[in-house]
Amino acid sequence: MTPGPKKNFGDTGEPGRELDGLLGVDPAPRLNEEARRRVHDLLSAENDRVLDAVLELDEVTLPGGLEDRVRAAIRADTRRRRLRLVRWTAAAAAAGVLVAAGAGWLPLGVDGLSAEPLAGGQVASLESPSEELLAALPLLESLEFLEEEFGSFEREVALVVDPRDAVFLELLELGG
Amino acid sequence: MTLPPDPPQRAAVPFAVPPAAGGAPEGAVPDRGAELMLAWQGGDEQAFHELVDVYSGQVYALLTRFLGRGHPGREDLVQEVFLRVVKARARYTATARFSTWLYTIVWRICINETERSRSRRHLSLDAGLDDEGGLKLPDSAELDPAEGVARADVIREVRAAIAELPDSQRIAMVLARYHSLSFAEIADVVGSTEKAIKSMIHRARETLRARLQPLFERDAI
Repeated sequence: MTPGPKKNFGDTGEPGRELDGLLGVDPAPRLNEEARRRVHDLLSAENDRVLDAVLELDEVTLPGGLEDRVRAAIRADTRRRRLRLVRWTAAAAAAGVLVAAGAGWLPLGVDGLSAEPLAGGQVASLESPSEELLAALPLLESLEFLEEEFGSFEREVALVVDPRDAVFLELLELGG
Repeated sequence: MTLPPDPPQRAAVPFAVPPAAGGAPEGAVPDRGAELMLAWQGGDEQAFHELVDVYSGQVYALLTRFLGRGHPGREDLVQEVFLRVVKARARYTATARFSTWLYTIVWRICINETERSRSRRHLSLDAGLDDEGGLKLPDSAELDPAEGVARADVIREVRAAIAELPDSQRIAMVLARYHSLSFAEIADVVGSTEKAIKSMIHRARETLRARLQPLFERDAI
């Protein structure tokens, strides 16, 4: 049996303690405040980096054609609102025409044969449009709008909607 | 098509005040969203189409991360957001980054939707039905099998962890991490203070770290 190496001064036989014994320092690790803060910061930064890397994995897959469908939905909504406006304008204009026409026919009498000429012998001219024509203008504009903006089917639907139906549709929309 | 998080450098970039509001601050990059919105206000209809192109994906991603992949009708909600933009066309003013203004609309819709979903969930539980409309369904949708089991597990855990955060922490964390908004901008979006947002994000990250700690220790990333 070969004898082991000669033990030096301070050798306690415990690994790691030898050097401590030789140097005469406290074996417990003691970091000053600054070093402790730096270690903490490094660990925090590493944790943040790892957390961000994990969060980075969460990607969102966009449905194809999303933008087109958003635009289509907005176009449909705009049309719906315009159509509603047209319906009400048409209804109001039609009512206006009826009122104006009724007022215009009153001076003509019941049979219309004994009609007196208009006061002062006025003749309807392009320079002074009649009340009836003025009242009908919104309706004409609405019709023009319908021609420009809608297809034949939508136009037909818009024109067959009775003012009472329009009220009903509005109520349905509010309720639905 | 997948949408990765916004590039992080956008976080530090201040929004540019449009010329009408006094000129851009030095070092700022133009706010494309505000430019497009103002052009649209001026009658350029094409600008609105571009706004939809640029932002609909971001809106969808925010709704998805906040409401969860199991939430039905996220696409309808994107449409709802842009319908509100259309209605706000006349009164929009470029006082902040456009995305901040847009995300404020998204946040309001998220709150409404969350309340609606909770009441639906409450009713369905009362009726003994499935929790189809609930907010925190297992978030396994959209996972690509080709990603591998380990990675898919990690992604599922991440989504579940985000879904479990309280609403305010979740929106703050998502806006900060995935949409690169500053604390001040997030405070504008959710109507809070910068300090409160900072605290919310700190708490959210602590919660996520604790929840996802086992993944850190696995060699799965």
